[in-house]
Amino acid sequence: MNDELKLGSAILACCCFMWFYAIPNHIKGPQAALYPKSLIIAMAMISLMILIKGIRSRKNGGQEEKWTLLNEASVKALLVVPIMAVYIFLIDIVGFYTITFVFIILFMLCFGARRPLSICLYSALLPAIIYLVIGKLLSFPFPAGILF
Amino acid sequence: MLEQLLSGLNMVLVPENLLWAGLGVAFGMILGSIPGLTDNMGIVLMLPFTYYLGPIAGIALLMGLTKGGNFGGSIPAILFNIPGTPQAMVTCIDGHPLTKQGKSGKALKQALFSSVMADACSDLILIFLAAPVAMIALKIGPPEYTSIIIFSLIVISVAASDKPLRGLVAVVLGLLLGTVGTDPEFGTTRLIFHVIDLADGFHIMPMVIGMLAFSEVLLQLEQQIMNRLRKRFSEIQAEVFKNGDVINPDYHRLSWKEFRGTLPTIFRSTGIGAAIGIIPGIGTTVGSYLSYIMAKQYSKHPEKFGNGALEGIAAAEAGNNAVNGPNLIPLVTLGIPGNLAAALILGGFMIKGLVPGPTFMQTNGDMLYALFIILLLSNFFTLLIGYFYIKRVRKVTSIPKFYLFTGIIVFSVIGSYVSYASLFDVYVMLVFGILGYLLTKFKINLPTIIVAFFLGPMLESKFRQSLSISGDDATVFLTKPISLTFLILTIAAVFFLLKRKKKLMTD
Repeated sequence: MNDELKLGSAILACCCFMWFYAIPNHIKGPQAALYPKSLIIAMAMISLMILIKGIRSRKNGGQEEKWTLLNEASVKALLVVPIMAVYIFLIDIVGFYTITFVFIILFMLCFGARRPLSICLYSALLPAIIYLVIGKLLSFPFPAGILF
Repeated sequence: MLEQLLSGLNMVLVPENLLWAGLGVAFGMILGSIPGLTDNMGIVLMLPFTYYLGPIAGIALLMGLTKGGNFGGSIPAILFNIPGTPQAMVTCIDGHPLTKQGKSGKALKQALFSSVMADACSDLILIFLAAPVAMIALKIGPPEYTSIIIFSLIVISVAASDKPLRGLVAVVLGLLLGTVGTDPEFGTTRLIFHVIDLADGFHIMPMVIGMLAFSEVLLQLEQQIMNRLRKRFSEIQAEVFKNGDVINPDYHRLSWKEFRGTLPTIFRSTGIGAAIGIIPGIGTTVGSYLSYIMAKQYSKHPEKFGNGALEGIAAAEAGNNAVNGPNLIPLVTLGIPGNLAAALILGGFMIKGLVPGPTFMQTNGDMLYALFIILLLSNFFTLLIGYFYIKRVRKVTSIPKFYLFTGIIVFSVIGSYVSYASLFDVYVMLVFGILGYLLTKFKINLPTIIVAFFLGPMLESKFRQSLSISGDDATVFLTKPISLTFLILTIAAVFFLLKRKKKLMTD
């Protein structure tokens, strides 16, 4: 399956979801739905053109780009996403500065840092600078949570 | 005129005014270089202080803030691929690749010189063409707006991507994302999936940071893991270090020959940015992106774009800054602010008891000239302060990647949070980061999505207004001369761009 076929099918599937589920259930009234519906029709037409291009290039024996959406490296890289989600979730509960301190250590370990002293220094310094510049100098309040 | 000019000079050239203009530039630059903290936020923060300053000093502070903030936004865009301000996103495209090559100093200098030059030219356009240009701007109604937006979107979609169909996907996706929120006509919620935080739609800063910065972290991390899996990581690290600050400081130098090569791009982009700036509301992001695309089209080396082309940085920065001067035209001539910054500056004028408008030139001619002189002076301060600032700030890129990635993540969170003090926006940033990561794999142009998202709500409302004033007659777009001109230009531009692309491919 070439690049165009993958992209065309993914967009077409999204268009079907929007047309049959999202628009009827999450937009009130046909007038309000008119503009999003016309955009979906445009998107579906473009996706069909991409699909036709993909089918043509397959028939003509065109170059197939060898890539996969998810490979071992991308799965490992995407592990940052759940860690980020937990970090954001805990900001309000624990407090921005404390949780940022903890997660900087985690992120640095994830990204390959191994020296304990530099990890500790950076994780303490970065929130401290943010506190001084944005929190104190610009008086911008970050969520305090149960700690700080 | 000469008398008013001299009187204006006399009013401005006081140490106090120069000090506040300089401080404004410096503060704006620092704010702009912190993602999420824009020049607008700086103006909001500083507006109360202008109560205690004289009229000229107050305006000098506000003008300095906008100039400094506008350039400041390009600093994190070049160094970390996080645009400090939304309009700096185009600078990321070529600025950050140069940083990766260890040439951050060169990129920052190019951005600074292009910004200042385009800004000064746009100020001159404001000074000399304010009155006639304002008359043209007055003739732009909803049908003309609609055609101009369609023109911008179609040209961007065809020109920005090697595959025009993917460019169109990006445009429609951006427009669709712009529909999330509240219907502008009926006031009902639209596509919010019962998430009440989405009632106002997606905010621009979390979207830009997620799509450009967080997705980049994911892509870089994936690359790093892939290299490690192939056991080539140590070699790559050594190569990056070799290109860095320590080994070859010459990489940061911007020669006169290199800068001269970008001058045609700067002047072209200044023209495009200034034309966009005349139309209130279209904004710096569109000016910057259109300039970039045109620079790529006219470049002798289009293949270098996206890989660290100086012309790319010049176009993005010149196109972005050239919008500023003409954006003030409706403000100083008609009293109508063309963008948020102009609206805030209008607030600053009003605090001082000055009301810009058609009679402002007669009643406060010397004040108007004082404003023009402040604009030019602020540019000089931007050049001076910026030159010293970038020398210090670029050093941060030579630190190891794990510090950088962690810093980018933390500043992405801060940048998304501070605009609306909403943690929901940080989740939005995360989701757009994943979306950006996936779309990059499908070679969909991310800045095109952002520009379309930015213009989407305006397109919808102007389109509806056009139909409403014409009694649902769609021919209104063909009967207005300016609107018709832009529709014809759209067809001509698509035809020309596709033909050029075909020629380049066969060559």
